[in-house]
Amino acid sequence: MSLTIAIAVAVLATAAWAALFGLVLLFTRSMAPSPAPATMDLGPEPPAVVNLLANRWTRPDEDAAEATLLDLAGRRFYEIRQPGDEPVHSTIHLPSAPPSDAALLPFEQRLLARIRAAAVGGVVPLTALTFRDAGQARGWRRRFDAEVVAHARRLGLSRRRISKAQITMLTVAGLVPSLAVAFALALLIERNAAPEDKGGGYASMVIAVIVLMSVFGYVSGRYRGERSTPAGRAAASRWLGVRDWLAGHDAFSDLPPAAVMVWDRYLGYGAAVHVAHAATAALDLGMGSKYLVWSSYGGAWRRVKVRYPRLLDRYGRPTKTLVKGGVIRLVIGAALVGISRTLPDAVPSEIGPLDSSFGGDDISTYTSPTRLAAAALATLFIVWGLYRIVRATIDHHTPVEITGEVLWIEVWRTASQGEDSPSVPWLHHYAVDDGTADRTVAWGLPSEWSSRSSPGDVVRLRVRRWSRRVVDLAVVREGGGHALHRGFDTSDNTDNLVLEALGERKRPAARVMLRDQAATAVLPAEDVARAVGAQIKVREIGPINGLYETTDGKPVAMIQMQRGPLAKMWWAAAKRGTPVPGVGDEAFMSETGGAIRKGDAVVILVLHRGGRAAAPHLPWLLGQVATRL
Amino acid sequence: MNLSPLVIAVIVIAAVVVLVLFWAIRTFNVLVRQRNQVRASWAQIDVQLKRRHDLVPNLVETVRGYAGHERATLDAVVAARAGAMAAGVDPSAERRAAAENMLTQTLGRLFALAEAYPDLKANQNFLALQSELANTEDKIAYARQFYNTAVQSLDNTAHSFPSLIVAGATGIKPPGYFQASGDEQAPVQVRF
Repeated sequence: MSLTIAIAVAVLATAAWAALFGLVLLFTRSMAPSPAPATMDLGPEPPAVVNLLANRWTRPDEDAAEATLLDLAGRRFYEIRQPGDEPVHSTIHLPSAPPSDAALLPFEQRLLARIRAAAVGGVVPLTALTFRDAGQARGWRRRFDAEVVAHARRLGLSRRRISKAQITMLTVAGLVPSLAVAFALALLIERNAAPEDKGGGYASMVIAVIVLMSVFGYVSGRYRGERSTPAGRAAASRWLGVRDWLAGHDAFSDLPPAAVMVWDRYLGYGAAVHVAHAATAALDLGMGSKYLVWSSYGGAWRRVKVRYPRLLDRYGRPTKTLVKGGVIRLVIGAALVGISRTLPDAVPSEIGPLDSSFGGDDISTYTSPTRLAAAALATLFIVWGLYRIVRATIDHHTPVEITGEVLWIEVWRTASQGEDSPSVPWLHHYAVDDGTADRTVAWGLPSEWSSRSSPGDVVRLRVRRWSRRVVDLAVVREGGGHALHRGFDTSDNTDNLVLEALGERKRPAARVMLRDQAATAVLPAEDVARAVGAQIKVREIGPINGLYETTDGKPVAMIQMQRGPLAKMWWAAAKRGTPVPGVGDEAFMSETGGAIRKGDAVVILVLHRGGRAAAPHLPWLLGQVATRL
Repeated sequence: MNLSPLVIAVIVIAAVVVLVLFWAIRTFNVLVRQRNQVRASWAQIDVQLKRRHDLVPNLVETVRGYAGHERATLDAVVAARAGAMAAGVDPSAERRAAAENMLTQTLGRLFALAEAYPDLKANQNFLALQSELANTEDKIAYARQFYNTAVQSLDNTAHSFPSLIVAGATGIKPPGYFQASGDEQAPVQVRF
């Protein structure tokens, strides 16, 4: 068969499959049902599910969580108070004897738990409910949405947009373009292969078919939102009637969140169908601003302005580096002194001698401007170098201790690993409110400690003020959000989360991150990839061992984890090398790996020959392990 | 092209007239929409009040079976219901509200009376009626809120300058608010 015909067949087969897929998407679209007559009668569905229906079954939007917040207030799980004219200044007050939350739906319990975790003395400002970590925000929202979708499916109001039968049909149909493309590829390889390599193209055809089938299967099976059901369309029609009723009342869109005390559940439902504009505008359950952060340190809520220093080179640097920088400046200064001596010391003679009647010397005897500039620059560098050395020395010997609430943690400086490798962070911005002022400047935290605390924790720091470097960190008290977010798996897809919420899929043990976690769960492949600077895949070898490999199967590192009495024996054998202070309870590292102990858990990380590039980042890797133990 | 001052003045005046006309039509449409919303809200109240009127005879009959000698209270409820139904044809919200408030008060007395009859309190039919009436009272309260909000919006438009000119010219006037009685302003309208 001619290669041109084979390529044409492959293109046609792929186009036919794409058309088939497009048809499936077209026929599984959820159209908005026509609204029922405007009515004030609310139905039994919770506001978050109503939001899903109002969004034409695509997925719940940010108003779903906000509507649930208002609905819970309407059901008296807490009170929303507005002290002044501004709705954004409203506060949530938890009652001392709240109603039982046993009958609450999972996503309602999730939101209530978040509010309770954030509250200090039973009070939390509305705008303090935002997240300070993008991963946590994403994970929380995914789980919330999945639980809403699961509940809608349970009520028979929604179903997966592309059913399992359709996925199977599309995947099987993908066999045709897979074979066609693989055959064209094989033909191409065979045509261009040397006589002794003939036959290799057809062998690779099998691999190509498997890869292409996987791609077609992935594209078909990817979660693409929900689809309506007859019951769902009836409910949506009724709720669109409620939306029209609420939208008809001009004043309703201007109601603040605190109006829930008068309007009870109507305000929550108004938010769900996007007509309570003022109420939802005052709420934010997503990511907060890193420049204006709520702090409850000291027992009262305050907004703290945070500045993140970036320009000055000395910030976050260790004393050794600062002194080294000072010495370099001294050397440059000394070199400039030497250079200035070699420069000519007279003005060019063509200017000619000037009148010396003023009693001065002839100008030809003055030092030249170039030499003057060199001398000035040399002086500047020497003074600068000396100043840096003296200040770094003073800074080193005068650390101060501060205690406060962690406001924000984010990557500040990274070290490049080369063109094709991801850069590895070595310094984090670490904003802490010590309660002395309503503004603060972030400190520089060594990245290997970045995961030892979370925003909201109360920490005790030993810091150097001039270099703004944190030299010691201890968590005094964990913040309320700690337990709430522990175990979030942000990598999981919505489809699996929905199935988990429906009880049709168990959460994988390795991802639960509890006591029975697998070894590889404490150090994901992404972390090793960042340290090594290459794509890494992970392979579990039983419950206590894991192997990290490059995509071509080259071993990079091995991880082993043990708990309990056996871990003590392991630790006795593993604790050798250089101590790594501040990581876990104890940690050691050498050129070939490291070991860490935290509580009764011991983790040993062995770097293989292919993973030695990660050796400089062992403290960071061990720090990552420590956070997940 | 040179236009005479007269033509320019005519064009300007015509443009102003068109703008004023456009504004007047728009304002009129807003007023009509708000008036319709008031009517729709009133209709919701009407539905709930009628539902309450329908529940009362059953309730009275059930109570009569256990406390037939409490004639005065039962007659007062029946009379208040008749008064409320008669006021149903009255277009005035204030007079209707007064009649309904009277019914609410007599129902309150009826339920207070039921406290003295344990058998009545345990009667399933009575309990179901109580629950249904409480539900209806809640809906009346919300419908009243919606009605009053709609009246307030119309009131604001009809009394604001310059829309009051259009409201005055077209005779669109906001009706009265549906006020709750003093007893009804308590957190729970019907206590069981």
